[in-house]
Amino acid sequence: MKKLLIVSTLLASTSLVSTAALADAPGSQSCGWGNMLFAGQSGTPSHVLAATTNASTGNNTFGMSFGTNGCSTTGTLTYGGKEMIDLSMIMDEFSEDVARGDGEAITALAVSLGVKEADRALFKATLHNNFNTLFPSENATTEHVVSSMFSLMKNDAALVKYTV
Amino acid sequence: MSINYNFMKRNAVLFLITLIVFFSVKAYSQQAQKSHQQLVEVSDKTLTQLSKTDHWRALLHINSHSKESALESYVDDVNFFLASDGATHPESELRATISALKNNAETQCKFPARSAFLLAQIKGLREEVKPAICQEYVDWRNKLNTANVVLVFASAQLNSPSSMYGHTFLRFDPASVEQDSTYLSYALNFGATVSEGDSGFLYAARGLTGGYPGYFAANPYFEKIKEYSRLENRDLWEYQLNLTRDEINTMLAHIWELQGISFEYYFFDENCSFRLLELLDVARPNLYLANHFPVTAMPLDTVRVVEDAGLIAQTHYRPSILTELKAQLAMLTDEERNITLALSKDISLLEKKVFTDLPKAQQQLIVDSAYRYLRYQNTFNGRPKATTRRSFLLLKQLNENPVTFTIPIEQPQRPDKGHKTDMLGVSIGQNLGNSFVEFKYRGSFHDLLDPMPGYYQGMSLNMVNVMIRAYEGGKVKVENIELLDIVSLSARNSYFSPWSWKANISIEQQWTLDKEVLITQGSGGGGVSYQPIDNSYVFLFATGRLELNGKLDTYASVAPGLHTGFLYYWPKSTLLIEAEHYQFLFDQTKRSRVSLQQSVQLGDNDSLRFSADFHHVESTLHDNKAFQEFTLEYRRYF
Repeated sequence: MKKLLIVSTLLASTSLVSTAALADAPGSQSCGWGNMLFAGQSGTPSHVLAATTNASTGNNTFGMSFGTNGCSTTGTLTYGGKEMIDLSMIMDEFSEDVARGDGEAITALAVSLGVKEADRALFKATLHNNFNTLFPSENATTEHVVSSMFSLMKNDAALVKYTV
Repeated sequence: MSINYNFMKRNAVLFLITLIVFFSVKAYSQQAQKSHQQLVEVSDKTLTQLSKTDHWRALLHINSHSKESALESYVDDVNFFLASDGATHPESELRATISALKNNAETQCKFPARSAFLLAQIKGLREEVKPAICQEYVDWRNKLNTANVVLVFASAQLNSPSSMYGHTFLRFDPASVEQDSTYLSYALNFGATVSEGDSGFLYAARGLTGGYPGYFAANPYFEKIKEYSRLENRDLWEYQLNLTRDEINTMLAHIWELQGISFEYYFFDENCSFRLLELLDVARPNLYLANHFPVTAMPLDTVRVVEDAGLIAQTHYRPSILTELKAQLAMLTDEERNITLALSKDISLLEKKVFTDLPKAQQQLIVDSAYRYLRYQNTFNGRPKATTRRSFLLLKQLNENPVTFTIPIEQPQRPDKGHKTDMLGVSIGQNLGNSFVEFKYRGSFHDLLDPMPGYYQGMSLNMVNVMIRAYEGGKVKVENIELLDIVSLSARNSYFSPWSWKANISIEQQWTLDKEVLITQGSGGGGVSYQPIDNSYVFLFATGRLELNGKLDTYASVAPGLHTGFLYYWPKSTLLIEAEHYQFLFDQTKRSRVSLQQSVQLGDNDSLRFSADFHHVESTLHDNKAFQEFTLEYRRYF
């Protein structure tokens, strides 16, 4: 098994493409950025059906897949070539974490951007202190949130390195 | 899954790999000369033996305890097999896989686990099979970068006892996973694939009977959290497994083989949990976990089997959004609770003295509670303008106040540590003045008075409950065969207004005219329940009953009724006092019952129960009849 993997990994390396290429950039044709804060769910799911089938959401391929906004097939997005978690999927959780200053969504974002543990507190505090910039109104779109976050990071000597 | 880290790590790993491959290629050319000689050594006998190993059978999803003549894979998809009779003949499949490997190196990419097994077990095969470029597979593995496998159990859903059996799926944590970033982990779920728009009972029935194909599907874990924790209000239990790197490697290689492969999906046995056990059997072939469940695989029981096999290294409890909200509301005083409710409806309260006069810490608790409550209330309401605005202003207020606090949530007893789900009971009692001994078997699962640790209050779900009585003098009677019995009590208060409901289908003894007769009935009810004090419920149901009883005026009789009761939980004891009344519509029979039951937990899997029932039957056809029944029961859960 190991050998198989090893050999294939080596051969793979010759044509190694950045995995970033697999993720969509915001604003591209297939990727709408309409997602706003509190986008909400509509319709009550059928409990009975869910209970007897445990229906699988998404399709059956093993790349992680989503059906909501067409932005990403992998749960990640690129912004200026930088790969990160698709924030539009976790906007509500993220906005709450920014308001509070901590939480799983903001940590996940930091990890996906490669923010090292030593810089996490700074990263979180920077977003927390700029809640009003990131979320000027309830109609803030993911695109606005992501671009203002990158501006904030670029203006910080310690965080700028995570924007590229 | 930090991309930066991965990329750097990958470069370092690649360098190492290059070295290793360089040396193995050299070794390969030396070995090549010997290969022909070695091949001869692979006799028919070896292949036959190999096809009988647990590992090979696990890879083909064939129950290793089946009789040789009755072997059949659980996989119903021809794409999974290379031999036309592969599903029933593991040896043909093994031979077909070997020749496929020799003829087409790409076979390794489609079947990495099988290939690894055969290459490791069959001498000389490696020299005959060309290395393959499995780009997609390698990308997938790199992306997952799995270091830990976690079994996730989604517990019951509030007010939906049909979900009480729970659900399980697997989570794959990357090596770089650090505390609190499991959002990015990869979740693998086995479930039926239901077309969009399918809903309702007909489809639920199809789910029960295998009408839908089942597939494995992958999502990021945060999607699962959203689905269970937020949309369905189910607490998640995350059991980290102690699989080794090699075991994880084998498991993932096999999972890859199942991409797009369909299984039949059956709610009771070949369900989400059963499939996961099969995966664990592949990872560690001597576990035989799937063999524990020839008839039904209840997710909770499968967790228990995994625990018994010593696979669980760590447990983490993830309370649902609703559990969190309730814990937070419990922190509030009555006055704070009133302000919270008012604030969730009217944001201008933020400017008023009643709010602004409060200390900062209290303000923050109220704003946070109001925010969570508003979001919870609007989970399924789309995006109404006014609510969205209010939510945003609350969030903004939350951000401006620097006070932080944590919600104390005590981790409840692990569901897999609760009482087991099969039950045998034996009781002595007296009915209509006659003494009896009663034997009871229940296939599943938990009623209102069973031991509480690991279970939720106010929920009862029982399927297949058979009671047989031997009366003094030797008469033996079927007392009751309950197919289904559900009670779901969801308390109402100023924040929540859920309905409570119940349903029951059984064949049971009923006093009709002048004696007990065996009748068939279906009944159900809807109503309300409240928690006047902690650990208690009072409830009231409006009920309806359809009874098939030859002794009544009309064979199929309909009776509306009422059912009310009081339930109280002590730590090791439960009390239920209830009263029920039915008025038959055509026949003028009236039935009433008042009952008192008290249970005491003796051990993890033992309990005692005392019950006293007072019955009254009125009819225009016969004299009124009043009778009592007393029982003392011992229950053993196994």
